Amino acid sequence: MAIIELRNVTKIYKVKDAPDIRALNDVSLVINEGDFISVCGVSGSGKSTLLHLIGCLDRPTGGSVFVKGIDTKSLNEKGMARMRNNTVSMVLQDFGLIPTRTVYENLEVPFYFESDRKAKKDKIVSALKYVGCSELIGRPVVKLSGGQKQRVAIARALVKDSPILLADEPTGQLDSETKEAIMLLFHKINKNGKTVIMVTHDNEIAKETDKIIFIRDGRILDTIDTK
Amino acid sequence: MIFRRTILFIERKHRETVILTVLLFLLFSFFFSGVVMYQSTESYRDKALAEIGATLQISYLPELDESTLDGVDQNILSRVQSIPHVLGVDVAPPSLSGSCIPLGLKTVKTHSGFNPEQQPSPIYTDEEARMESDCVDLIGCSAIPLRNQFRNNMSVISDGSFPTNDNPGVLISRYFAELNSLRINDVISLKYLYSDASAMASEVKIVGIYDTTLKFEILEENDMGVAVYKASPYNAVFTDFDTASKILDRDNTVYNFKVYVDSPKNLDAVQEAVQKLPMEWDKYKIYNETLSFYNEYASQIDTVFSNSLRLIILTSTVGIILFMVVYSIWNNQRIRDIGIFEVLGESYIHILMIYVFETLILSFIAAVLSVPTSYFLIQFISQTNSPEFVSSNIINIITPYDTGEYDINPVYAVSIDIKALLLLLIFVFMIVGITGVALMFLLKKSKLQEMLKAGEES
Ligand SMILES: Nc1ncnc2c1ncn2[C@@H]1O[C@H](COP(=O)(O)OP(=O)(O)O)[C@@H](O)[C@H]1O
Ligand SMILES: [Mg+2]
Repeated sequence: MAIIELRNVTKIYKVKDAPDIRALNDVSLVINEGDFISVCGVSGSGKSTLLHLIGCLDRPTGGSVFVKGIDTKSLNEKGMARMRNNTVSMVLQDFGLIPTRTVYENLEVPFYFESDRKAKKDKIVSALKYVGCSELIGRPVVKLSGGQKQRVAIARALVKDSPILLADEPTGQLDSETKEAIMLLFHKINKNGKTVIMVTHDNEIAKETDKIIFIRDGRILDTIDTK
Repeated sequence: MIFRRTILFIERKHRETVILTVLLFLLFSFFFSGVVMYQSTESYRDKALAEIGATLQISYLPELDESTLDGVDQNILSRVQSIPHVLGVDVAPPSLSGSCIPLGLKTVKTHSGFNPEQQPSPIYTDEEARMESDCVDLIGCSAIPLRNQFRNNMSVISDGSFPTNDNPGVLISRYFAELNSLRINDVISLKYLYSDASAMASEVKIVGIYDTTLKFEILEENDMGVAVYKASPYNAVFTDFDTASKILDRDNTVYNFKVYVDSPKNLDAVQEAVQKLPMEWDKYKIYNETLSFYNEYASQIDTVFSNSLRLIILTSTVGIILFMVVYSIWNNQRIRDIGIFEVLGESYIHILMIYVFETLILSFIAAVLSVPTSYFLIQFISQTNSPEFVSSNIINIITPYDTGEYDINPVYAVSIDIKALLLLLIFVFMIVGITGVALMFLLKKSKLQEMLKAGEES
């Protein structure tokens, strides 16, 4: 069943004193529930733009993006924020953690609407346990290694139990050993039922996913099923 | 929840929080000082005006002699009395007063300031000064309750009543009464110091005793020597017009009079009405006493007014600009954080609320601290920049002593009232509002992706 659908999506960035940038050009795409997909392409090909449109960070210039059947164009700012909060979670490129706060406090951020403190704490604890970082709960983020930061960032993306997990270059800053561990974690997340979409320019990493979407100059070049 | 989150934010940015709070604190302190100074000056001006009262003085031209005048007839005086806004008419000043020897009684010598024994007088001979020092100052007056000290409750009758033509007698101070063990209805003998040697002393009944809060401070510029004692508010003896003329051996023709008006606003109207009365206006002049007194204050008051206005305008513009610059620099730094918050599903309205709440908390802390600080700041400003405010005193200008009758200081009498606090509160909300609006524009303008990118660079 399609959980994400892009229909003739175009994204144009208007830049001052320069020609417009067509970051995505007539992209159509269907992603099914439970897919594990990687988006592959050189730098500047439009990978992040695609991920941001799916992640409800932005809306397309032309065409439509449906997330769980909802056209993102029909959402206002608040609606987009709610989608980001509990439907599509994002692991940011540089982890996106608040460095001077503790792991717990970082995981607290998505719970803006949560009033039940006990439930919140339980969710945070189990998310950390899930990524294998239970012992880091009270530690300030600055004291963590790259791999630990990535796990914490993933835990934060999981903490609201969104069905879709997006990750922008999640292995870009990690050594090969940690990379493998993180990929194992993504596999586990996918096996437990979440739709995972990750952006990477690393073909080796891409090969580990179920489906690779190659993009270049804002267009889908090819789609490969690795299985 | 929003409170907790805000605290989380403030805590996280120690340096920024401290600098921002200090900046706000300085801004509010100067603003509040200006407001309080301005308002204190305003109430000072009103108080000064009330103390000065609103009076017109009608007196004969100085080149004329009383013997060439017919005097002002009773009919005119009662017509003046019935002019709207006229509180009363005093038919004595400035002539119906004089030094009197209170036979067998002592005068009050209590005072502060310089010792007059060591201040030789160029005006009086030693003997004259000595005699004057043992005199009371007899003040004949038909409107005693309207005189400054009684009108402003610096002196109040504690026993008996005011002397009038129908209730003749004298009104003495509590100090003088106690020094000489005098009571109401006692009779004392007063003799005009400069009367003929053959003249008899007059027996007068004490009809009233007054308590006074007036002080008596002798200043460095005292040129009356010990004669200054008779000017003490404790040695003032008030009496009705007829009794005064009898003791001072003057005919009771009215040559001068003073008109008390209810408010300075109505002085012009009353003056116009008085001038229409059929008097020998070629021999008399009428002048606005209030205006000439007030002018003594005016320049000082105006200086405080313009200084405090300048303080308010200058500090608020400089402060707001500085604050906004610092705030917007940090806003740009914070943009990545905001981006992260947004990605994690917070609408920008919530983020705005957190930031506005943050500014609100910091502003309130700063505002609360600024109130007591302002108090000291005002003292400092008034002492260093405007020493003329510290001892503004009309009496000092015209007499060598100070009774405290005009002792009101615009800046030292700092009154932090509700109005000033309210203005500060409005100013606080204004600052919070401005930062909120500025941040709102910033958040609306920035794209989420750019906000995250801004983070990547740093
Ligand atoms: N916010 C933006 N404003 C203007 N141009 C942008 C913006 N974001 C991306 N671009 C441009 O769009 C193109 C695609 O960028 P992006 O999606 O980030 O590529 P990738 O993630 O594959 O490196 C690039 O040319 C990039 O410069
Ligand atoms: Mg990218």
